[in-house]
Amino acid sequence: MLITLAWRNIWRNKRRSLITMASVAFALFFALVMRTMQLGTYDQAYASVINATTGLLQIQAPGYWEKQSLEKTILAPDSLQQALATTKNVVALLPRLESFGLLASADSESRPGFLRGIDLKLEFEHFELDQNISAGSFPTAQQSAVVLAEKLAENLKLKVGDSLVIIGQGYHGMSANGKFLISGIANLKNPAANKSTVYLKLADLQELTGAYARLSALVVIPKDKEGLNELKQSLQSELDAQEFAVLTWRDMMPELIEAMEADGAGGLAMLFILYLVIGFGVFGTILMLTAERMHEFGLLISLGMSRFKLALTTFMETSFLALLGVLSGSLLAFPIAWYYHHKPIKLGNGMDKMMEEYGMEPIIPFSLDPSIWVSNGGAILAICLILSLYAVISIYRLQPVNAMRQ
Amino acid sequence: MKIVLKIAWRNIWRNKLRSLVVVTSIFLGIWSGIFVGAFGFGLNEQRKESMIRNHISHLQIHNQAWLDQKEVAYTFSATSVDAFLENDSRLSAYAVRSKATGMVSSAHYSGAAQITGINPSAEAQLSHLDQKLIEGEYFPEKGRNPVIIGLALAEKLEVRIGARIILNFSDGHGNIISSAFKVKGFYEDVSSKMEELNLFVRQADLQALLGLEPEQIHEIACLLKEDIDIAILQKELRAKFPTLAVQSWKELSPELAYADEIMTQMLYIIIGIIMMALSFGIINTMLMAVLERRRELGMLMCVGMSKTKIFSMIMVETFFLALLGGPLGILFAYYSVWQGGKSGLDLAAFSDGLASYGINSVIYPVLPTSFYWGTAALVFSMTLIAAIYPARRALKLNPVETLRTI
Repeated sequence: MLITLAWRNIWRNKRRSLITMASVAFALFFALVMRTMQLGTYDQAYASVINATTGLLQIQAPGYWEKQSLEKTILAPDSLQQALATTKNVVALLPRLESFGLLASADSESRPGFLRGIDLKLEFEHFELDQNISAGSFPTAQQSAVVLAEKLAENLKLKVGDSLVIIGQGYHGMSANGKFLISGIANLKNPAANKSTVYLKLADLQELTGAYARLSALVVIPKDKEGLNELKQSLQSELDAQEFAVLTWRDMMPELIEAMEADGAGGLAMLFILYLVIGFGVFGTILMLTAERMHEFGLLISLGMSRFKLALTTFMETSFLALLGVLSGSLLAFPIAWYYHHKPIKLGNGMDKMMEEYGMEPIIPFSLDPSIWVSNGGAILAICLILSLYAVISIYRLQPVNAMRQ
Repeated sequence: MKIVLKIAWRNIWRNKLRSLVVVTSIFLGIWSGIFVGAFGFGLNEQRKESMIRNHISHLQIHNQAWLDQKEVAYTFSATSVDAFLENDSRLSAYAVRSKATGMVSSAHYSGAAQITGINPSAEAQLSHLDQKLIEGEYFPEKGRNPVIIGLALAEKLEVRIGARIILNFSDGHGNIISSAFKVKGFYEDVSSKMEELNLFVRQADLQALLGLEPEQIHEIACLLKEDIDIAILQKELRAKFPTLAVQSWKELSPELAYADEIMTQMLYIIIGIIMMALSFGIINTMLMAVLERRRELGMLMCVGMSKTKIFSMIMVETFFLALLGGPLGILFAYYSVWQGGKSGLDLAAFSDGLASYGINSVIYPVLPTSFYWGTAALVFSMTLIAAIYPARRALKLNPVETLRTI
């Protein structure tokens, strides 16, 4: 009965209700489009950088991450790796050795490059590295060859079948020079990596640098991405802290996270203003709604309707109004978010360069994370509900006789 | 008309609270919108200024071929350009440079290196490298092969002042040069990435190692006193030296120039969205003002008030609301941007993330004056649009019917 009454009250002044609903829907629509775009971009940025560089979780030597030097590498015997692999929530451990060298070719000047010694089979399985190959192939089990990132190969003027000379510094400062056949070219999505990466077989790089059996990191592939910190704790407790440190991607890339947070803070400021303005609009409506019904309220109370019921009806009325606005705003925003989630906006015109500086793909996919809908819809709804307390308070304060005289 | 203005003004104050809600929402919306915009604009300006002062300068001159591949062989003769620039009063500083890309190593670490051979006194004037020195000496007279490295690189290399590091780079004839340099100083930059990559040596030392004559150089960077002279000087240089590539900062770093453009658009979009959200409130309020006064308006029509006057009365009433809130918001915004621009806003919480953008953590909001006028125009035109609906609604009232209803 009260619900019916509340519902009908909304339609007593159709125009006003519709405008109010539209304002709520509009605010939520903008908030959602903006947030799904922003958060989607961050997710994409994180995923792109994580996949191209660190993975989610790594076991390293303490101090390796600051230095990234061969001197801070670990020895991880198979027995240890097997013990860790049986830990709850660990799917696999990928051994990696990373180093740095000057790359030279017959036809161009030498360039600096990152040497990444990897276990091919595991990287194929967990990072789908083999999908990136654009010419040739990864070396076979017997072959000792390298795969170059596409942009790097272009700069060095090298093709599949040419040889690459690596001049670098090995373990304990010895020289690490070698000549390798190029068996393939890979197109890496991450632009920074695409300009500098050379993939070698782990054993080849260990031999080149003289860092026999040593690893820069064991990349941990967790079963689920949530609870990384718990996994980090449990792994660290099994390892000797003198020799091993467990780092999540958040530990390894604080600058990326802070840059995203600084950007996100700007978005939040904008949302705050939008909500503020819409809040005032809704308040205006509630104000009018209360004022024009003072007479009626007074009448109902003198006729014996309890103030509680009256307040509840009015509260429900404004809640319905807000809810309808929130629902239509969400419904409007969803197709847009859905479309750009599947067909991300591609950036051009210099913005792409800016993104590439951060090692990200220059695309903007929208996020479909339901929590964005819940938090923004919830925020607007909460604002409206708080504002409708004005009507409730007025009903409790109302003097029936005075009100009816108006 | 005078009467219309008077009535409209008085009408606003018939329902004080409601009018104040609208006025306040416009005031707050405009104020905060402009301020957020100024903040973003300030951030952008600072980033641009910092990049120009520290890294790219206003104009750079290279060999045409350098733009495709930064190879040692792509030099040009400094003599004639030097003579041209020497006595130009528009320049605040310019510097001649030689460059090489390679590898830096110590016993502990090796990494990529962008080696720049500089003329110490010219560079001090141009990029104030001497002032960025936090330890050591700025290219002392005595001693062979001095090098100045970034603090972040020093930490990785684990070297102190006076230590020797090895630089490897190719000489442009297929040979790899390996030469020892003595660390004479550490410099600090806003971005640790830049600190890690850029090393500075004496130009003569680098040229000797590369087998180049003193006048064979890779780059001239110019800083001008006035921004408007950039394009003019660029044109003159291009005409005088048609074989060289003369680029302004906008071409060297399109993302910086593009960020400028995006920011201006963003500012108007922000204000536009806020104004749209505000106009819902304006329309709603004015519509109610019309509908609750239908009897009175009908009466006015019956006694002979012309439709034009009724229409303009409602329009003027709406404008009064906007003209109270809008200009006040703009004034407050102007004041707070001015205040914030003087003292700066400290964002220490995001400092690392901001540093990777290339800016400090204290932000000074600024806004070009034209933007205030633009906002005023936007407020004015959006109010105009918002006012039309309620005013038209007033015209549609049927005088006879309105008088009959209570």
